[in-house]
Order: sequence, then structure tokens, then C-alpha cells
Amino acid sequence: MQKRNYRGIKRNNSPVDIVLEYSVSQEYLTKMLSISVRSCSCQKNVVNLIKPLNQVRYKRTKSKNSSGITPQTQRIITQLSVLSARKKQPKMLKLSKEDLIKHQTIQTAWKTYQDILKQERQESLKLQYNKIDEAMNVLQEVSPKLYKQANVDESGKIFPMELRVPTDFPPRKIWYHEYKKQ
Amino acid sequence: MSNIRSLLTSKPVARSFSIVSVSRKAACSIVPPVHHLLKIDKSKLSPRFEGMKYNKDDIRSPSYRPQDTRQDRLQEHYLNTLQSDLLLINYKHNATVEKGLKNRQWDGTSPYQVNRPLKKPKGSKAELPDLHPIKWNNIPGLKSVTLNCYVRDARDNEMLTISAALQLQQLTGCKPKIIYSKSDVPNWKIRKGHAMGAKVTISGYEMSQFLNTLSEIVLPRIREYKGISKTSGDRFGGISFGLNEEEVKFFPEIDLNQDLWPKTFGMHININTTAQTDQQARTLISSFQLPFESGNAQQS
Repeated sequence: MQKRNYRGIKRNNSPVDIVLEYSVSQEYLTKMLSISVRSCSCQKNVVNLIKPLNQVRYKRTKSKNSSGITPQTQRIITQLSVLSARKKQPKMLKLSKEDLIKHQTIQTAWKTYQDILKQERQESLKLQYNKIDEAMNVLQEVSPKLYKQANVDESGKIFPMELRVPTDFPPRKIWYHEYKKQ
Repeated sequence: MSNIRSLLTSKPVARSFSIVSVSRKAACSIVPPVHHLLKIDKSKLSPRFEGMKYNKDDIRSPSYRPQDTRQDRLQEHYLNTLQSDLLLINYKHNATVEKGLKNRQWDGTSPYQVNRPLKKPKGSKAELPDLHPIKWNNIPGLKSVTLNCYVRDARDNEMLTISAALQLQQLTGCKPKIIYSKSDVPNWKIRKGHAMGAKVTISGYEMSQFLNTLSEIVLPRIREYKGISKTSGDRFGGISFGLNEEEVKFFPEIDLNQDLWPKTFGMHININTTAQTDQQARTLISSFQLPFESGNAQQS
């Protein structure tokens, strides 16, 4: 027969267990012990069990494998925490009605302005294209030789490396007048 | 009585509810009478999720991200200077649409040819797109940049993919994805579904920023850099090149704290453009100070 004792360990039911289960006075314990020892085959074990309990078990604070984290694993955990988006999400703004209307007005105005700019760019490009076309038509009639030279296929042409993306803070010496291509 | 009989033995109604399998289920009833043509998103009916109602560009939506918060130097350069140049370079007088290779019809000599899929085009496994002449509305431009970081050593140590992903995030400021091997390759000791690296696709401001850093800081510091290969390209306007693990160290994000980067990873850089051919893409990319192999330089 299996039974749980006061420490939660499964063990065979014995007279000693029964004694321990009911927390009784010391006298009663010794009295009962004399009976139980007679019935128990191994006296030594019984004495061990009766010894006052020095060890107290508290709630577990460390996980079972906590000592298993190597520096490499810790490194990977750190890397993953850098990658995670949890802390990068900006706080959502709560706008009042007035602020919201302001924001929407500005947003719409900006979009409209961008659309106008885009349209202007498209129109100027269209104009450029039409002018190129017109000039080529004229050239074809006036001088077929020049037309042939002008209509050479330039696909795959490479921009010179000297063409730079403009900056807000250009270098002090802007243009190298004595520059020669190597 | 006759009424009941008519009910029992009436001709089957067209409407039936549980015939369509779950996987092929339509979002709304397609059997007449059709009541709802639009699927109702119930999360939007509930007052609990206020933010779900709004578009992403509305500030009340949780997924709102502010746009145009800073000047995009590369984009402005493209719009102000390069677009008109590219239009002129790619101009061809009286150009017409060049038809790409298309699937071919069967000649109809055999009755078995009915409902057969069309014949593959001659000299190509798939259909090729048409080539439209470059006009004011289809000038080649940048679409996106994909950084692909395949780590061969990850087959033994999967954790290396995390470092690779972190490296990509540091270089671009965007969140990368882990990539997995697609198939078993016994010769390379690769199993299917194993994490093998990371990749990230950037566009807009992040792309401009990355290309600027690449052309102004990284590539000039590489010793004896020959430039992007002449043969690079996927035929349809995508150019790709690579940086090895030593060259990646020249990025200022890694260069400034090298102690944190005991191991760096090489990567492939794919530049996707709206160009229709590789030659057009090469012209476009060379305008952002990315050098090409010297063989091409004489053309400039």
C-alpha cells in the first residue's frame, strides 16, 4: 500500500509514518515508538526519521537549468533582445479633436503639394520628350547623316564617377579645376 | 395532402449549404439568392478595437508610421538631375514596342491539341515581357534593395543566423527575416527547413541611406575594388553584387565598435529597378556612384 508522508514522499505505510502524520506530544511519541520499534525490522532507520528536521524547503527561486547558461547562450539572448521590436514600437499619440483636424489638414495639404510637384515633373519630362522627338524629326529631313549619328544606341552607357549626389555640406574645395581623368 | 407531397417530392432547390469544401469556400454566398456581396469584418463592428477602423496612413491607426520625416538626398538627386538624363540616354527615335517571346499556338492538325496548354516559346522556357520604348512616364528608377546573407556555417550552428540577422538590422535599420534551406542537399550536408541566414528588403528612405553609405563610405575603402561585374543582372532590370565578410566591416555601424563584432557575414546585394533591361538598370545604378567594371567605363 502506497501513502504520502508529511514531506510528500511516497513510501510504504508503516507505524512510524502514522505517528509522524499526527503531530502528537513527545511522550506519546516515545510511548508509541516502543511499540513500533518492536514491529520494525530496522531500528536505525526509525531513529533517523525521528531526528528533528533542520532543513527547511522554501519556494524555488532558481530554475533547474539556471546554471546551464553559457556566455555564448547569453550572447545570443542579448542579440535576440536587440532584434525584438517590443521596445522599439513608439507610443501611440492620443490627439484631441482639434489636434487631429490640424494634423489631417497638414497631411492633406502636404499630399496635395507632393502631387502638384509630381505632376509638374511629369509635364516637364513630357515636354522634354516631345522636344527631342520634334528635333529628331526635323534632323531626319534636314541631314540624314547627322540624324544617324544622333540616333546611335546609347543603352548601357555608364555615368561618370565624378557625378556626385549633392550634399547640404559640400567640401571647402568644391571643384577641382586641374582634375584629369586617369 | 397534395401540398405536403409537393413539399416532399419537390424538385431539389438550387441552394445547398454544406457542399463546398472548407478550403474552397467562398467568402460570401455564391448561390442565389445572394444576400451579402461583401464579407463583414466583425472586428470592425465592435466598439472595442477603435484603431482597426482606420487606414494605415491615419494617425489614429496603431500601425500609423509618419512619412517624409526627413530629406531623401538620393531621391531628390534622382528627381532633379537623373530623370531627364536617363530619358535622353534611353531615347530612340521612332521606337516601337518590342514584343517579347510568347507562348505559341498549336497548328490544329490533331484533335488532341484542343485544350492543351500552349507551346513554350522558342528559345525560352517562359514568356518574356514586352520592351516598351522609354518615355516620360516609364523612366527607370529604383524600386528596392534586398540584402541576402547566406551563412554556410549555420548548418552546424543555427545560432549564427541570429548574428547575421542582427548585422543586417544594424546596417539597414529594418527588421530582417530568417531564411531556411528549401531542399536537402546531401553533398553540402544541408537539410530541408534548416535556418541558413537572413535577408531584408528595404525601400524608400532606408534604401537611399544604405546606397549612400555603400557608395560614399564602404566601396571607396575596399582595396582594389574592381566594381560591379559587367555580366551581373537578371535580364529584367535587377543588378546584384556581393560583399565578403571583410568588406562588410567597412560599414560605419560595424567599424565603430568592432569589439562587438567578432564575426561578420558576407552578403549579396540585389538592386531591383523599374528598368526593363539590364543595360538600362546599369545606367541607372552607375548614376548613384556605384562603380562598374572598367570594361564599361570607356563607354562613358
